[in-house]
Amino acid sequence: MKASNPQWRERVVDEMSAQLRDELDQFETEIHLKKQGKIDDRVFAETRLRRGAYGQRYDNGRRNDGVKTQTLEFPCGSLTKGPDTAWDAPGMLRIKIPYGGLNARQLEVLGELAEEYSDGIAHVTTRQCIQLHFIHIDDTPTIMRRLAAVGITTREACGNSVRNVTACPYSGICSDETFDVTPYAHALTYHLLGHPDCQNFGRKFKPAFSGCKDQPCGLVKMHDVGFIAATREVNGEVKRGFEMYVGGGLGAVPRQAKLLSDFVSEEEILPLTQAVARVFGRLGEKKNRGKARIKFLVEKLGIEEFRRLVMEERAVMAPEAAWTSYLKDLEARREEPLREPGTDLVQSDDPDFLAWSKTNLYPQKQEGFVAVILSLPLGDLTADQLRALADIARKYTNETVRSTVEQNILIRWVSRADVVSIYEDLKAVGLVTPGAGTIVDVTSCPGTDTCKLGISSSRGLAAQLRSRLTEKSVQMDQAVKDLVVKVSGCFNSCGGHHVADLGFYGVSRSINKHSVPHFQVVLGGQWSENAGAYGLPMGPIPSKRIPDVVDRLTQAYLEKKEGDESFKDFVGRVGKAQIKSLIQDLSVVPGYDEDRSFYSDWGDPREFSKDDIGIGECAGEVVTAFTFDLTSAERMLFEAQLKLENDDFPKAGVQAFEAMVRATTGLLRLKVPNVGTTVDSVVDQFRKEYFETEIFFDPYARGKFGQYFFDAASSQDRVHDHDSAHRLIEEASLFVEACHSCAGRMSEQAAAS
Amino acid sequence: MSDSPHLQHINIKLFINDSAEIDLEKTIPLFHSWIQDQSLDDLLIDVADYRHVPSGPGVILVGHNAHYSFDNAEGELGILYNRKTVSESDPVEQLCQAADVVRTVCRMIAEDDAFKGRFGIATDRIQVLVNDRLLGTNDQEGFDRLLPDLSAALVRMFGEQDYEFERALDPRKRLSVMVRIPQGFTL
Repeated sequence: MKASNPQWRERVVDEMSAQLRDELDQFETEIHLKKQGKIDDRVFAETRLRRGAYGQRYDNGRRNDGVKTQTLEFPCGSLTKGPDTAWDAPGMLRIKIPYGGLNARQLEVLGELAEEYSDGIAHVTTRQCIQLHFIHIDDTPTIMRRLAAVGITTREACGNSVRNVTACPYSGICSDETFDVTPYAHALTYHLLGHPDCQNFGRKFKPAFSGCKDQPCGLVKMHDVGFIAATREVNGEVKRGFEMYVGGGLGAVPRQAKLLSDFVSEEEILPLTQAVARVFGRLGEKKNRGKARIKFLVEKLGIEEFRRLVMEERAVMAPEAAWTSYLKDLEARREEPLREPGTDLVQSDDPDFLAWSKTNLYPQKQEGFVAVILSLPLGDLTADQLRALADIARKYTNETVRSTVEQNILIRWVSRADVVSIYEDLKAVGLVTPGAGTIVDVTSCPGTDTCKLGISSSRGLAAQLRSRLTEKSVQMDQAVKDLVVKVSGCFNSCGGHHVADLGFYGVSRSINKHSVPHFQVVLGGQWSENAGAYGLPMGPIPSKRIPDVVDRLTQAYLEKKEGDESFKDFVGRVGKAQIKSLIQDLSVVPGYDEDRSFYSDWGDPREFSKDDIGIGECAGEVVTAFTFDLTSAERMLFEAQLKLENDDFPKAGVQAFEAMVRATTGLLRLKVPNVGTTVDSVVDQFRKEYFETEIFFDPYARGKFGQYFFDAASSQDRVHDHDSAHRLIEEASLFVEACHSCAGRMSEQAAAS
Repeated sequence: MSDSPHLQHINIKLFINDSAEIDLEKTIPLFHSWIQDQSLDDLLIDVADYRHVPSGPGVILVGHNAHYSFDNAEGELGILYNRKTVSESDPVEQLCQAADVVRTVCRMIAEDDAFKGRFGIATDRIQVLVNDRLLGTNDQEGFDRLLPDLSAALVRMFGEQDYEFERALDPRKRLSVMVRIPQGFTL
C-alpha cells in the first residue's frame, strides 16, 4: 500500500499555519520511520492516537466469519502500527470539532475526505466530533493536511490527551443560558492543545461547557472537567465566570463530577484548568489503566485535598498571555444572522412538514429566529448531504452549523420566514427526519460495527429501535415521546447509556455452549441538569428482545406514572423488583435449534461470537513524556541527516541542535516539574540537575557527551557548512544515546532502592 | 507519486434495472458469505450497512484493495467498484480491470439464490469516477485528460461504438462521467 497522492501536500501547504505544516510533516516522517523499524510499536501507537488515528475492529488480523476465526492476510506482513495492529488494517480517524462548530467550507472538505478515503460517510459522535472509518494509516497525513487547510486539527483527538472540548450547541441562542460559552470553549481548546502541561497524562481528559445548570446540553457532570456559566456581582459590577467541576466520567465505573469551585472568573478558567492538568499529570495513575482517569484521583484524594493541590499548583504557575488575551475577542466570536428576522413562522399544510416542525425547530432567544435540528439516523451523513448542508448554511445563515452530542446537526439563526424554504432544501437531500430529541432519536456508539471493544451491535439495535418507534410515534403519548434512549456496545458507555431514561449496553451470555448477544438494561439515568444522575443496570436481556423491553417499560410508565412524574422518578417509586418483574420473562433465550435468530446480532447474520473483541485503544498507550521527547529527538536527527544529504547544511545543523534540546527536555522531565521553555533555561537546568551532579556522566566517557551539548549551545548561532553540520549530527546522536543511557541508569537505581 | 500512473482510484458503477426488486437486507448475508469464502481476488474484510442513509452508500463489502457496494448515491441503485489502493497499472489497464471486477461482482450476485431472476443490470451505460480531486479535477481539462484513456478502455472492452460522455458539472463533485453505450455490453 502506498500513500494516496502526496501531491496534496503541495496543493494545501500554504493554507495552514507553519506550526501545523511542521507537525504534519513530522507525523509523516514518523510513519516512514515506523516502516523502517526505527520507532517502537507502543510509541508509534500513542503517536498516531494523539494525531487522531485510531484502531478499528479486526486490525489484529483476525475476524470471526460466523463459522471460524479467519486470519486476514494483509499485504503488510509483519509491519504493525501498534501492538498487535496490522499496518494495512483499516482504521478510524477522529476529527475534533471544538464545541461542534463547523463552517460551510469545512463541511465540504469533510465530504470530500469521506468520499476519497473513507466509505462515503461522515459520522457524528456523541462528543461532537466527526469520525471517518476504514481509513488507511498511509493516507492520514494527507487527510490531516486537507483538514488543516480549512482550520481543523485531529491533534489529541485520541490517546492520553485533552480530547475535544464540547459545549452546549445552543450556546448563544438559548433562553436559559447565563451567557454564550462558545468563546470560552474555543479559548480552552487552543490553549490546552499541545500544551506541555497536558502531555503526561495516564488517560484521556475530556472538558465540557454548559451555558446553564438545568438543561442537559453540556453534560458537564459526566466530564473530567466541566464548566457551567455563572455570574457574580463584584464591586457593583457583574462578572462572568463558571462553576467548575472535576472528576466526572462514565465508563465501567461512572462518577458524577465534584464541584471544584462555585465561581471561577473568566480570567482564571484557563490557568485553573491548567493547574488541574498539572496535578492530574503528576499524581494520576499511570500503570493501572482502569484507575487512571482523573475521577479516580479525585476520589482517592478527596475533593478538598484535590482542590488544595490545584490551588497550590496555581500559585506557582508562571503567567501566560493566553490566559486572558482571548477575552478581548469575546464579542468578535458572537454569531450574527444573515437574514432578517421573520415575524411569523411560515407554515405549510404538508403533514410531513408539520410533524417535522413540531420536533425539529428550536425557538431562539433572539426574536424572529429558530434553530433547525437535523436528526441524523445513527449520526451518519453522506458526502452529498454535507455539500448540500454547506449550501444551505451559506444560503440561510452565516455559514455555520453545530454538531451535537445527540449525533445531530444544528443550523442556527434561521429566520422564521425561511422555515418552509429551508425544509424543502433539506428534504431534497433527505435531511428532514422528524423526531429530533424524542424517543426515536436514539443515539449509539459505533459498537461492533467498527469498535474493537464492542460486544453487541449498538448501531444494529439503535437502527431497529428507531425504526420500530418511528412506526408507533404518531400515536405515542408525549410523555413517552420525551424519553431518551441511548445504546452502547459495551460497558464503556460511549453511547452514554448511563444518562438515558432507557439505556442499554452490550454484554454476552454463554448458553448451551453458544454465545448470545445481550444488552444490560440501564434505567433511571438523567439527561437533564447536565447529566444529573446515572442509571443502574436491571439485568441482561437478549439483543433480539430489547425492542420488547422498550415496549413494556414505556407502556408501564404510561399506565402507572403519577401526574408529570419523570421516568427516572417512576422507576425509583415503583422499585427495581417490580420493574424487573415486568421484563423478567424476556430474559429467556430459546434453544439453539428452536430459534437461531437469537444467536446472531442485529444487522449481522453471522453467528454471534466474542472472538472479535480486541484490545481497545481508548486508553492509549502509556508512553512517558520522556519517551516522546526522545523519539522526537531521534526523528529530528533523521530529518537533519536528510537535510545534510540535500546540501542544506545550515538547517541540518540547526535541526541537530534542536534534537539535543528536545532530548534534554525529556531528560529534565524526569527530575524537574517545570522544565524551562527557552534554550538557555534548558541548558542551565541540565547543567545544574544532571551535569554538576554527574548523574549524566557515562561510566567511561564521563561528561564528554554532555559537553557536546554545552558546546553546541554556545555556538548555536553558527552557520554550518558540510563538515560542521556532519560533526554536530554525530555529536547529537551520541548525546541522545547518552540521554537514553542516563534514563536507564536512573530507572535501575530507582528499582534497586 | 512520480512512479505511479497519473490516474488512480478508479470507481465504476453499473446501474440496476429494477431497484424495487432488490431487498438490500439480503445483500448483507451475501457479502458475509463472500468474506467467509474470500470469493474475490482481494482481501475481503467486513460489511458496512448504511441502508438508513438516504441516497447513500447502501451496503458495502469492505476489501483491502477496493470497496464493493450496492450503492444508492443520487437515489440510483447500482453496483459500485471503488478502488482504494494505488495501482501500478497504466490508466487503460486500470479502467479495464475495474470494469472487469464490477462485472464479475454483478455476475456473482445474479447467480445467487437470493437475487436470481430479480437482479438485472442496465447494459447501456456505466459511470466512471476518479476518486481523487487532484488527479481527476472535475472540469473540462480533467475530462479531456481522462477521455483518451477512457475511450481506449471502452474500445478494448466493448469494441468500437459511438460512445457518449456526460460529465457531472458540479465542480465540487468528483470527476464523474456517465458513458452511454449505444450497442450495450454483456456481463
